[in-house]
Amino acid sequence: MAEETKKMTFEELLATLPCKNKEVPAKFNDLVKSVMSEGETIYFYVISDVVLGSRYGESFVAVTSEQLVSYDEIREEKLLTFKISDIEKAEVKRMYGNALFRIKTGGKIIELNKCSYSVTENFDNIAQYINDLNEGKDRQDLIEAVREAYEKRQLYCPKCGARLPYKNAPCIKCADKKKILGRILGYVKPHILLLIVALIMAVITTITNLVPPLLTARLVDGTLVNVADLVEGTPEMESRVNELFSIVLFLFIINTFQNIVGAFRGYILRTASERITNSLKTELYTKAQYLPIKYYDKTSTGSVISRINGDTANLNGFIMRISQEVLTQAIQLVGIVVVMVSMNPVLSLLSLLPIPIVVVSAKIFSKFIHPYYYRIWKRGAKINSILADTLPGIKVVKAFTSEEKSINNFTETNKDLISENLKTAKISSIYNSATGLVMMMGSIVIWGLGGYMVLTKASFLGSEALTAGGLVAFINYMWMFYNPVQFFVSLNETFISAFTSAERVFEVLDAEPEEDFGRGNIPEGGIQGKIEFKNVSFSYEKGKRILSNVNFVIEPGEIVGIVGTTGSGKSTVVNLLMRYYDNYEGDIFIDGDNIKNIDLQYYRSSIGYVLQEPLLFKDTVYRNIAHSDPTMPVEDVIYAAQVANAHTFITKLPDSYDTMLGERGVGLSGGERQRISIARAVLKDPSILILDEATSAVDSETESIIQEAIERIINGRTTIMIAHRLSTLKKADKIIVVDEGKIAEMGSHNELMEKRGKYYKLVKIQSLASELGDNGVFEG
Amino acid sequence: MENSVRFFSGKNIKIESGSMGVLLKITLPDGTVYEDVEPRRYFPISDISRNISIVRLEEDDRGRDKLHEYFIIKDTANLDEDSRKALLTSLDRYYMIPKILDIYDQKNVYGILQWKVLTDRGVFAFDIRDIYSSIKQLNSGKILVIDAYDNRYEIDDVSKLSKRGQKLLLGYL
Ligand SMILES: Nc1ncnc2c1ncn2[C@@H]1O[C@H](COP(=O)(O)OP(=O)(O)O)[C@@H](O)[C@H]1O
Ligand SMILES: [Mg+2]
Repeated sequence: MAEETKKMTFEELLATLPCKNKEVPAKFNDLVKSVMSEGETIYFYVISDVVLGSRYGESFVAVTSEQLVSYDEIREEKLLTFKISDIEKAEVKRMYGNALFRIKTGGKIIELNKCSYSVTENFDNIAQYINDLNEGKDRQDLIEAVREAYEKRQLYCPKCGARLPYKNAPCIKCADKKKILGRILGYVKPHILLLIVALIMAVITTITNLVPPLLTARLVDGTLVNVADLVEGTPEMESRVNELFSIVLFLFIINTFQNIVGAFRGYILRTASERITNSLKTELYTKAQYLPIKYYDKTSTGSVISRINGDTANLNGFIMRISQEVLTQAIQLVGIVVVMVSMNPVLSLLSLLPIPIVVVSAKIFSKFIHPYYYRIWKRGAKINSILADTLPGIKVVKAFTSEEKSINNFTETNKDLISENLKTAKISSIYNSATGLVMMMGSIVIWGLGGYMVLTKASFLGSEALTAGGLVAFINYMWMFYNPVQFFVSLNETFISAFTSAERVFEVLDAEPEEDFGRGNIPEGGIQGKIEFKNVSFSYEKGKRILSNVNFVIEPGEIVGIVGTTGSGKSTVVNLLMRYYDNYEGDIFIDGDNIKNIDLQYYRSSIGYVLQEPLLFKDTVYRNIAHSDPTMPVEDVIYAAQVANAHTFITKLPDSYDTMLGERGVGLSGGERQRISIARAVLKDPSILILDEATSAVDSETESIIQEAIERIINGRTTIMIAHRLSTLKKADKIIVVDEGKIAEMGSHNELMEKRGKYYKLVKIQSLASELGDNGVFEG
Repeated sequence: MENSVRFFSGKNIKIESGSMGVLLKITLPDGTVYEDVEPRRYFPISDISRNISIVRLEEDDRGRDKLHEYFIIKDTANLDEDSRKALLTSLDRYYMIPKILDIYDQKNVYGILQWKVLTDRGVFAFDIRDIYSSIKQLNSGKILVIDAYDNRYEIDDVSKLSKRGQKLLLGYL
């Protein structure tokens, strides 16, 4: 894609301009045209939203081939133009909730336009463009860079022009609902047979449901009528008794049949539904494993969890309703209407009278009640987060004797939840009683009118006169009729809630996974361990450079220390080396290959990484060490534990290697946890070993045990050691000093000491501290 | 230990507008003058008129912004009328947290809320992505709204919105 745009000629590129962040009103276009001379073309627009007085209003900037045009509706001189070559510097000053675009020209700073954060980055782009152009960089390259940046953050839908909620969001207007629905139903496909069987069963049950009222009608009208005239022993009597028993037997059979079918169907549906939920959950969880770290920097893990649990269940519910109930409810609706009309058209019409009331009130009700459900959900979530915070943090709670505060906080939130629940319950029960009343009124009216018809044997439109049994059956049908009506009334709600869940689920499924450009590309002979950073710059968030222009080479087998103050960017170097982040400038090479071109899994598996905070899992000690492959030979695992000085303490644990650890490794001391994580790294037999402040959090005795283990394992491997205590770096061949994201110094200990620079200062500070009793002595 | 910054109540401090509206000239009670300094709030959301830090933005040799902090004004209420006006003007230029006065229109499209609101700075339309974490009631009762681009808005008092606005908001608190 990027390759193709590069091949574009300048003329072709011009044809794609001007770039704009929003639709440009004709009025703005005319304004710019009015100050342009012949042969001048417009390159970029930034349509802003805030005017200089910090109010919302009309404001924009246009960049043409010759000049910068700025417009602000409240500025005295609304339209200002500057020759681009006259601009000494263009910059964006980020403030709070807004930013300022300003230029320096003729030695003076001029504040041109304001904007909210929504357009700040577009101003960044054109400021960069102006500065780079004036520095003499290639115009076409610069235009392409701006164009690419604009496209990446399209604020409007390219198809319909509608506003998008965030960069590259799927357009809500254009979102093909059929497509989403199709995608949801795609999860049904593998289980379609089960669902069809269940559906057939449901249809049969629904149809048989229509029969019992007819039988009871027969009972009332035929079997049990004029009982006073019957004489015992007569054939008439006998046939009546036979009929009674046949009907009763038939009712019995129908009911038994329905219940058996129902039981089977329930089981089949449950099977299909569990499978669908399971496949959705697995797919989501799998995807979550392959999402880049960048994704988790922005999205809370909680929201991913709620998608995996809540939204999949909601989707499943929707699939069940759609695949099963739409058809059965429709059959029931049509069947009942047909039977009712054929029994008595007039009564049917009358009994439909309450329906509009029920429909309208259900609509109103669902709109009305919806916010209350959200309030309940929100309070429930709040209670969850209180639990998730305070229970694992129970030690802190106790240490600061804030038990009572916790309890109060919890009870208050709970009270709030209960009050919302009760409010909702009040509204629902009023609604339910009211609709019940309306429906009951309807049936009372039918009883009255129908009863009168029965008595007067009135008949309408050629239909048969209504009988007593007919009336009973009719009223039965009438009650059955409300079910499908309510189902279809709420169908829209069901759709909306399912689509909301679907969006949330698909957002994760569609998120870009970690890039694995070099999949399958495994270097012959494995990784030797030469590491090279070449002009690497990086920022986690826009605007805040964390690493700038980092260059270094580490030869295979070298032991390299990285030192620097907290926050200087040491761990960030490791993050990039681990390929946790891909969006850096410059290149990183291993054995001369760009790390982006090596198979990701293979690459990571050849690096052993020990973090400052050892991350253990809720599992046995053994499986924590053999985390990457639990089928490893026991000998290897135990050897790794021995190398890491962990074996002895593990065998002293109550269940030895089978000891179950709590969440995050609860049950071990910090030093013990660290030794297990070192054993884990050893077991991988990595070509490159990274220790990021591995001993910073342990006491000096444990440190020397760990240090001894580390010295044993670093032999023959490229090792990067990040250390706070410089004394732990005495074995290092080379030391890299990082300062504010830049490499300040690099060299052996002796060289750096002679240089008397940053490193020298750090060593002096620590040895001073050690004279005061700390153990930071550097013996070199 | 980091350098501790001095606190001033605000009495007998003179503040004048400097260049470009944001920059200030401040004279302390002892006569020391600070020019081209800017105010910053310690509590930009929960307490906007107190604990104003006075800083100067300097570019370091790599062109990065460095913040140099001089002192803190405890409470703008202690300033004289003109000084307070100058300070508030500068703060107002730096901080843009529109106050929502009414919600005109609301649409919830698959979990994304689209709002059209009246603010103290005019009418504006924006989208809220993660409804749950983007509409928050603070301890003070104020409501903080964060839109899809990280712009902030606040609602001082829900009961001052129109009946319709209150109803629209009801479901998100
Ligand atoms: N995930 C992240 N998102 C944003 N900023 C980060 C992130 N991780 C680290 N930083 C910032 O990057 C800088 C360097 O951090 P780091 O490399 O961890 O420092 P250290 O040298 O102490 O290991 C710090 O200013 C930190 O605030
Ligand atoms: Mg670190």
